[in-house]
Amino acid sequence: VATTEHRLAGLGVNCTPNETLLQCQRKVDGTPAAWRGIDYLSIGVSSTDTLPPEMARKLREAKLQAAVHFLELNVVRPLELQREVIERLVPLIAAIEPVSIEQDMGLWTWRGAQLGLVPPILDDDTARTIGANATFLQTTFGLPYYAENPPIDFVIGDLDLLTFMDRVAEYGNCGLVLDIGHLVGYCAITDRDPEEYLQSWRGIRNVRQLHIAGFTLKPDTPCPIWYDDHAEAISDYSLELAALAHQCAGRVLPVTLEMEGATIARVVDHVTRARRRFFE
Amino acid sequence: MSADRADRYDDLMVGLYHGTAPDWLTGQSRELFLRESQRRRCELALKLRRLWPAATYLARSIHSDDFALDVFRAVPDHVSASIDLTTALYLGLDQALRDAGGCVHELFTYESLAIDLACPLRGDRLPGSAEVYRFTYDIQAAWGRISMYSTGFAPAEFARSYVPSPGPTFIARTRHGDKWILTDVTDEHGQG
Repeated sequence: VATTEHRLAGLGVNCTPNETLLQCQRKVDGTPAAWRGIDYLSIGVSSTDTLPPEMARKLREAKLQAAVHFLELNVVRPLELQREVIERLVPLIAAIEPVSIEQDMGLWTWRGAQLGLVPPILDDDTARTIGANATFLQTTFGLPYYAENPPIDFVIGDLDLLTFMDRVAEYGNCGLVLDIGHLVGYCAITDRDPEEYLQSWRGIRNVRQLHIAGFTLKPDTPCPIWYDDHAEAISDYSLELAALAHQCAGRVLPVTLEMEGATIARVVDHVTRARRRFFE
Repeated sequence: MSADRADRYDDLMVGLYHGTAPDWLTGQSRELFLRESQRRRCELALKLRRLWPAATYLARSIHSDDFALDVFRAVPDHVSASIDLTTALYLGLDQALRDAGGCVHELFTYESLAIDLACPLRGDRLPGSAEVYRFTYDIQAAWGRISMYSTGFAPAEFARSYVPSPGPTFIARTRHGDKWILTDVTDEHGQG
């Protein structure tokens, strides 16, 4: 990924723009103490958001980096179709001064409404579309864009997920976010072993960040389905799969814990465990 | 495969709400898609029951167990940048229940008074600045009775044999913070 510079590092948690100042204050105060171990925030930003004042300055004072996670861009379609959304996002992103931007690949809005994700069709056509959009986003925002593997509840297309991600990285000259839970969910419905699948993936060199979250497992035929549930506990299995990803990548990747809706006690516990597991 | 590959995502989104897989989807992909369609429509069914508990119970009892299928199918027709999912379900329900007979549609309107919608409420609103709606039945009594049946998982026969008391009743709604407060103002508006 020649044109993108990776600068995010360490352990992050996700939050909304409105929660950002509270997170900064927690880091500055060291209350809870675990917050001293947080290095960055992954901030979910929508084009309709109003940002709290002086976000960038507060983040700097708290020694927190920021990554912006878009919520509404349909990168599986030409982003020309969402020009107004992007025009509204530009000043918001400038005010946050993040080091990178990212989003799960898929169709998030349809006729302007949010109806639930349609995952990408895993074929070369869609990979080329996302690649072109990645280039467009990196040019428009002047930031590295990372394409994330989305939750996949049904699989369409002639490519497997990781081959598809390789092509996106190649066509878009962009980095990737690997979401551990989404990967497990994909493996569950395609009868793959997540560890073997991950170990065989050469494209992990393009991964710039890992996402880890809790989940609920819903039994069904022919196989149970893994659904992300950010309020739920992060399992040891997810942490170990993330550790394997670090090992396969040959370096320690930034780790974002996605925990909106979780109790503060759970968040403190997970931040402490992840810090110890990956960064000490 | 669709003639225009760009249309594939439209096919998929509409298919999720219609419960039909696009023709170009085959094999296990098709099975998984249909399962996901059912899961999402189960979530929608829960949302219908949460927002309109009495109206949906009564509709199932006197109209059809499957009436919600029509509501789900209508969602793609209604959504837009200004119409969110809740409002799309409201419009779909309005369409499905308008000719259902009995007091179903009035119960639906009554329960909708407490919901934030991105479109005007389609009730019998009296002229004037205050929001006052006219119901032909004693709508609060009907809502109380049907709610008892609904929360008790009563046999459908209970609902089918229920005869609502005639009205009219007049209900005003006013905004307090993030909630709508409903007040019976029948005494102020007389009996006709």
